Amino acid sequence: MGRELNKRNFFVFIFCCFLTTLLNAQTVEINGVITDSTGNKPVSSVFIMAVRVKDSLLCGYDRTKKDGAFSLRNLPNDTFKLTISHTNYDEKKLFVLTQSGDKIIQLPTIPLVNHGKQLDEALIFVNRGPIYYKGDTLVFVADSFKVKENAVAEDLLRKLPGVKVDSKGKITFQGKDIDQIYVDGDEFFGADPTVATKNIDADALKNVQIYEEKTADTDGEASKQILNLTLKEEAKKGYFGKSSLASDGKKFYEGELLYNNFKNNRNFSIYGLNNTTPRSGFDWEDSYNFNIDGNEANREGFPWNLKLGARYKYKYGKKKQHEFNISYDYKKNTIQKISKNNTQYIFQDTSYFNQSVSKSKDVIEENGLRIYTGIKLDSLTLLTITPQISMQQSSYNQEESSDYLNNARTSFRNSTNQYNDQIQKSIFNNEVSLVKDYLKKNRSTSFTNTINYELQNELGNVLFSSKQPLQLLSSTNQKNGTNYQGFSTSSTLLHAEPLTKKITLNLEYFNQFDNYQKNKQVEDRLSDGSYVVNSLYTSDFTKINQTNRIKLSLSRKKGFHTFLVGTNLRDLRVKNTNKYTDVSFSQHVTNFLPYISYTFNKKNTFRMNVSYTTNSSIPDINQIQPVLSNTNQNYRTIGNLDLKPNFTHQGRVWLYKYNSLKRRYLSTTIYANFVQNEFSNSLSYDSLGRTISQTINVDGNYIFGNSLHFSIDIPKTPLGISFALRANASRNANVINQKNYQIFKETVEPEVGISFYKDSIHFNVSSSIAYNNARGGSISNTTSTYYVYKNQFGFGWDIFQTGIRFETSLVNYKNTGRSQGYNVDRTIINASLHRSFLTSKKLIVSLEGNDLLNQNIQLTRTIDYNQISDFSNQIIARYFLVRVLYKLKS
Amino acid sequence: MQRILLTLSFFVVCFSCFTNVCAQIHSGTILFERKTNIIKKYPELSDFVNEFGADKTVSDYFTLQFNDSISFYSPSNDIQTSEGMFNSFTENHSYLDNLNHKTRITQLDMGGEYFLFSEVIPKKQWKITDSKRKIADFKCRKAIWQKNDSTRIYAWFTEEIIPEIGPEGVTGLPGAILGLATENGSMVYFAQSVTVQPIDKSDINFSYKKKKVMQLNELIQKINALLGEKEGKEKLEKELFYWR
Repeated sequence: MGRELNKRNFFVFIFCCFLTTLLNAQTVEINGVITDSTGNKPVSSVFIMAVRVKDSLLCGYDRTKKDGAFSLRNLPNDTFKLTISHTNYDEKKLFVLTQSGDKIIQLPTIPLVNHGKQLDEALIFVNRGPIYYKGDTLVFVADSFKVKENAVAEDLLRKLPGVKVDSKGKITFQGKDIDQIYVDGDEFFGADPTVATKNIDADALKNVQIYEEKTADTDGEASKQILNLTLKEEAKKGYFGKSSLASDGKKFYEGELLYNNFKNNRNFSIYGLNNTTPRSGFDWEDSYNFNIDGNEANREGFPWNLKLGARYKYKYGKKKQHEFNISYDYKKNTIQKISKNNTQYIFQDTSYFNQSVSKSKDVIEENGLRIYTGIKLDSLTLLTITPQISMQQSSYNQEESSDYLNNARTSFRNSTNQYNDQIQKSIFNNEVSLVKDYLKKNRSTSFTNTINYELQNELGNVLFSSKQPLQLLSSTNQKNGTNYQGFSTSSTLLHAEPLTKKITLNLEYFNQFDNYQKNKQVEDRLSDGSYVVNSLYTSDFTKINQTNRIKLSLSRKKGFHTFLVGTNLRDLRVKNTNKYTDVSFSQHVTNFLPYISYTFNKKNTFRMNVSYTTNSSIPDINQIQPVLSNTNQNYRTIGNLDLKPNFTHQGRVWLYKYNSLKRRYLSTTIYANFVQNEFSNSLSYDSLGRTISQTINVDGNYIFGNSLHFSIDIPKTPLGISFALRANASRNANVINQKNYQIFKETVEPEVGISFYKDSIHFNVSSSIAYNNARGGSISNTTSTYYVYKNQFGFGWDIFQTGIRFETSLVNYKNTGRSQGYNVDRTIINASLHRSFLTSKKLIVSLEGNDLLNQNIQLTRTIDYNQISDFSNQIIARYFLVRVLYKLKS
Repeated sequence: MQRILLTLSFFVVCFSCFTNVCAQIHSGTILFERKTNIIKKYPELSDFVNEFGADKTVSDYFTLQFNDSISFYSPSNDIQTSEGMFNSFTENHSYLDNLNHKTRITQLDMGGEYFLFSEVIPKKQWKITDSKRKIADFKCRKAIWQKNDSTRIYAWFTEEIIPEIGPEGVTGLPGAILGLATENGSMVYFAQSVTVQPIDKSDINFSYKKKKVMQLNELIQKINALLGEKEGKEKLEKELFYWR
């Protein structure tokens, strides 16, 4: 009996231990320390209360002891709002997200703020790290996110909830692109974002901030999403950077040097890049100018790049509140392109083809100097002055041969066009800005004035010939000379006035004055070698624009809801005079452009916005009274004096929902645009296939569409799943050969993906199908449905902590529905092996293979009312590099 | 000299009051006023009340004495219930709480006959809102107790008074409840004043040693025996145990 009792007691004891463990595993303890605003002196008797967010249930409370410490025990694993209050300080709120498995959470020291000084701030603490919301800026505290040894900023960004970094280093946050990356509020080694994210060490970062920045122009307002990396104070001492050299021993090479030196309140940096590969560190502006973007499959041509620059930054004043910085940048880029085009022109009674081959070489060289001065006149007033100057030289050479074929594929005309020009341009720009904040909340005033002066000289030649079989139709040998001078000044005055605690009135006045003069002289070369002025293409224009815009809006914020209603009143006057023909043309348009918007913002984890905006553009002077261009005589443009301004109605709904505990986010945008009096290029064709276009007004154009992104991390695993869907439908009207047409286009592109990320290994797989269809126009009887299938795979592995890293990526494209010769399938495989040396792992030697199967080619298709065009561009395919990289660090 | 002393005393008193308001309070006496809307509390009596044209609101006064270990809530000896024909329609119970052991002795007033029972202080699940207001010069937060599917109780509490106390034995918030109300406004309690003073056991005028203190189930049986099960249950829910 005694033994049985002992046995029973033993099992009861074990069961109780197990139950206790189970219960303890399901509860969590939150500890912390509260200090005064200096962060040093603990505050006793501070009241802390934990309320569960999902149902507002009070789960625990405590008061700090003399050492400022508090402890909230036996809380369930959930998300809490901690309210921290004391009669001598402003109340503080802190959100804590616990996760299953958490037992004790130690919060960082929480400083309280004296009365009246607390900013609109809600602190969120996830057991992986704190996330701040300071007004509209999302702040991640870098040290709280664990990364591998020698990780760079890009590795840290991959750990942040809602942030995605693709294999090319492109960053999105909650599905939206990051448009610009700053370091400590400024560009870092130029505008290339990957220079910062791939070179700054993760342990040098203090915070990662994400916010929206608004920009204003004559048409209205745009916003871009900014990612700002702030550095720790200790990282701003000494130096860091890198130097690397890579080559295949033949024609491909990459060389770069980046050096950054901090000393007290001064910062000096230099950089240099020289390469002949697509991974050239092109910034977004370069990408636009050379029609290159970050996607390897879309990079055209064969580049040569050289970039050099230096930057000096200095903070001064008692509290280092003033700033001065100066930067110099030099670049020289060359791109050689070879492209092919096949266009089918379809009419009701006939059709014909144009097959062309184009070779071009573009060289651009630029010097730029920029100075920034920021002076804090007092604690609430900031004056900034930013003068810039840039000098640019560029040359462009193009040779295009076109063959026109009838339905039977017999050539009825061919032409060659050779065009070259050299341009010299100088630009001076200065911006002065004064921003004043007030003690009264939500009141602010700012004034900005910009002056821009531009000088440009251009010299060029055109050699054009057109012939039918056995007969020369026409030939042209011309030289061009253009002088351009432009002066522009704009001013913006903004004032926000809080009428009540919840209602704010926003006023804006914008004024812009432009004065442009463009003198173009075209001369024909005669058989005896002399030149005579061609009056058809010669012009001497003066254009004066005057824009005045008043913007008035009321916003009301109540809890999670913000309502905004406003209107623009814009007055635009344009006077264009052709001194060569003594013909003058004036436009005067006054627009009333209302807008309305509703935003729901719940703790920034659920945001929704519904908006309706309007916009209006006046026809460009080249659409009304064009300056005839002689660059390619297969295409001519004539003017239309009856053009009216267009009017656009835009509706948009966007939604973001983010669950930080489950790492799940959803974002979707639904949009619809409807345009009255839209500008459309009507086309007519002569018997030789030459195109004449004229801008007309059309009604009934619309586009509506949706883009959806969803991703979720599978709990307790490093796996994530993503799904995206992009779809749109549009209707456009036009006139072709004096007949009215309308064309309907639909695009649907779903995409699914799986990702796996741990410290030493990662892979991702995704697949998408793009369905494109066009109907209507005169192409309705022709196959105009085509598909693009895309499969991607990426893999990276730090092999057993040996210092060796292996990476590979594969992209497979399959095209169907294009014209013969353009349904090209291709698979692009890249692979690289990296090995680090030295105890500090500062030396890295890599072997890189790009496009191992040598299949890279760029293909695009466009479909219009009566045209189906397929383009292919030659781009850099297979190449290998051996790279040596050395990291500089103090 | 007298004038100087008087002025100094004035400042000392003001300072101590100010300090008392700013500092956390561990003991004192709170005076509550309760307003009962008879028609809302007893809708079946609305015709009767209206017919007589009587004042449908009854005001009662209670004191809550407290320190860190003990609290005692009872009808005020100094201020009497407002006169009116319905002033007997309201309850005047008393609650003696041991804050350290979380136990309570309740004295139920059933029309002059008193019943005592002891129990563990019942726990309530409170939901905290962002609403705030001032009561008796103290900043208070609003909390909600979902008593059942159809009944919600609102309370305003201040964390500046440390012990978990409140009128009618309603406690469980991290401070003193200075305002209490039913959702329909049939009963509303508001603190009229808070007097900060040391409170000792001897200051509490509640003698129960010679009386029988029942357990909860004993009490329920007794009431059912007196009133019948149906009426007893109704009495307990609507009046005797309304705030449990």
